[in-house]
Amino acid sequence: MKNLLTCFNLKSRFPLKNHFSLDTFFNQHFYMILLIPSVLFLAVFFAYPLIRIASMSFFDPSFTLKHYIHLITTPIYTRTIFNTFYISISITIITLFMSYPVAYMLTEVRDRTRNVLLLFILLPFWVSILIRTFAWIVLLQRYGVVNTILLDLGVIDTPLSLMYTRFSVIIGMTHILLPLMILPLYGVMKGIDKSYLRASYSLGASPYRTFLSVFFPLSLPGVAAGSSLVFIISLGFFITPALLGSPREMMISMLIDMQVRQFLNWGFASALAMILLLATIAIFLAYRRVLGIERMFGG
Amino acid sequence: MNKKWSKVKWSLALVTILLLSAVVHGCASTSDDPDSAGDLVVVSWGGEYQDAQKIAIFEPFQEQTGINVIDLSPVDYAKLKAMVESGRVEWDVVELEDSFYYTAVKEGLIEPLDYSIIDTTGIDPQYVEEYGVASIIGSGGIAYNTESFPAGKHPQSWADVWNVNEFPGVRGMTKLPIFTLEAALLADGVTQDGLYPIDVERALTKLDEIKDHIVWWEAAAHGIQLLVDKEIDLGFVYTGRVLDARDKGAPVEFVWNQGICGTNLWVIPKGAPNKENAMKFINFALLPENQAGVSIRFPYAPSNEKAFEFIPDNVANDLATNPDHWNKMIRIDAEWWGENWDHVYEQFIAWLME
Repeated sequence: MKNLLTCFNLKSRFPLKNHFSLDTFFNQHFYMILLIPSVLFLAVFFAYPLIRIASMSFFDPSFTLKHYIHLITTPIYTRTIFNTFYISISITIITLFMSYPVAYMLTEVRDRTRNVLLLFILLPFWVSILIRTFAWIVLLQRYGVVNTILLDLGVIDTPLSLMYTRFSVIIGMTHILLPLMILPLYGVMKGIDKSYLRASYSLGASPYRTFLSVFFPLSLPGVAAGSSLVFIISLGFFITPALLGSPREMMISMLIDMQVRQFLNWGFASALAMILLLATIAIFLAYRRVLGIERMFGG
Repeated sequence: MNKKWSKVKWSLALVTILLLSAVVHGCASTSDDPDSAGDLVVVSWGGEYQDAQKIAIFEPFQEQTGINVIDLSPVDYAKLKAMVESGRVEWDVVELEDSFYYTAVKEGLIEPLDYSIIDTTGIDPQYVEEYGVASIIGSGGIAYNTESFPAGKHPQSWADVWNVNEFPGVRGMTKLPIFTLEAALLADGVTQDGLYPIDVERALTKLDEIKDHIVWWEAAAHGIQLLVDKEIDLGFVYTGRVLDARDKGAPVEFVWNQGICGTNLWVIPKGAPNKENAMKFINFALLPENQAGVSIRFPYAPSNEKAFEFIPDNVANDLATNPDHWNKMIRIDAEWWGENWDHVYEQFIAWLME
């Protein structure tokens, strides 16, 4: 590099402002070469298909907004979008309430116990979603585990209809998404200095007050990270609502699937997908504005 | 310190670039070679049905002509469309449902058949189309679990299926308007003549009566599985699946009365790589002995009348085209469905979500 520059006398021919030197730039930002494989991979397999889908929704074959208009004016689609958001928000709230105590407990226990507990949380996480969904089917179906136990115990006479309801969808998805809430929460909580809590007690605050004024605000980045993860993933969730839910629980993902595979209306499916993407980006931006981007990554 | 770091940097860069080139090279060299002349790719519906086709048609064809037959499943309409539109067609012969046939013709996805190569003697002209020819005549209809309904007290008509008091239990229906709307109208007293064009409103109102008792299934194998597991007690299932399960010992039975028939058609995707072989294959598949070979192993009726000469009586009893059953069943109007599929399906989905 040095030779090249001196050889062609570039430095004196093109005096650069602010003492910028190509040499030092390269030395300092060397890591960029290492990024090339990932950037190429993302560009080809992520950015390009995304652009294709966006163009499919607007050009069919020439520029048209008909898909979006159809989407907004047909009640079932707006109802599905509303449904999707409703289910996703419910799941986010339920997961949050279930995960918060667990994450806190993880910070309090001994290392050995914590490792075992983390294993219990992570193992299901590594099992395929499809298998976990089927496990719920086996549990909840008409002559499945739950019903058979209740029937044999004499608690009920006829099987409860647990499957194909909003209940089964929410239980299944909550179960699958719990680790995604617990882990970010735990990650932030373990960084909270316990001496703050002790200081709060020493100043006369009740445990309740301490939690509200000291611990909870400090754990908010974890709450934000976990909730946004869970919410965004539930928005696009396909397998579990498709298998566990009835048509009343139809979510955007199932609509897109139907448009792609059965209606073969790819322009419209792309429009639906773009709406989902826009919703995700909007939420991402909202979090960024309210809590700051660094916080989302536990900073 | 600087020199050492410099070496590390450069070696890292070298490794990265090598990895990158390896990946790119790997991707380039794993691209599939197109089928060489003397090959054929057939796509059908999988499961026991396709196993029967393999023994009766695909393997004999390969033996007789030396053409290498590769059979795939299941038929995916979206995939077919993607292939034809991108110009990289990998399938040579596909078995389509009649309701999709008209959509496929409209969208220009299939080739016209060359009837100078394909011999259709023995096949009723109504089953011979410009772009496809019927392979089997299948059906679906009322099926029930014999443990839920003892002999003599089982549902015998769609009106019975709608009668939740006399025949309590969970009903299963296919999550498509086709077959479901017909069943509802039949339960409401409509006969074959008055069935088409379908009065969608009337059918949906009738379906409202039992909507809370219905479990919706999508894949054919799922439907029969629900019935075998007693997750549903009765409802609409495809005939072949029910009879096949019954013959293998499951406590299920099929009711021929008010069954609903449709056909599957052999078609060739537009731009298929081995069109000549495909035509020869379809010709072979229509031969009476070969069709009989399928029907013996999986209870769907052949489209070639002459095939019945090769089918033993006890099997013929289980086929839809048997005169005993044929007159009790109704036939799908595939053309009507081809024209109205899109908006009827939307109406149906809207109703489903209420």
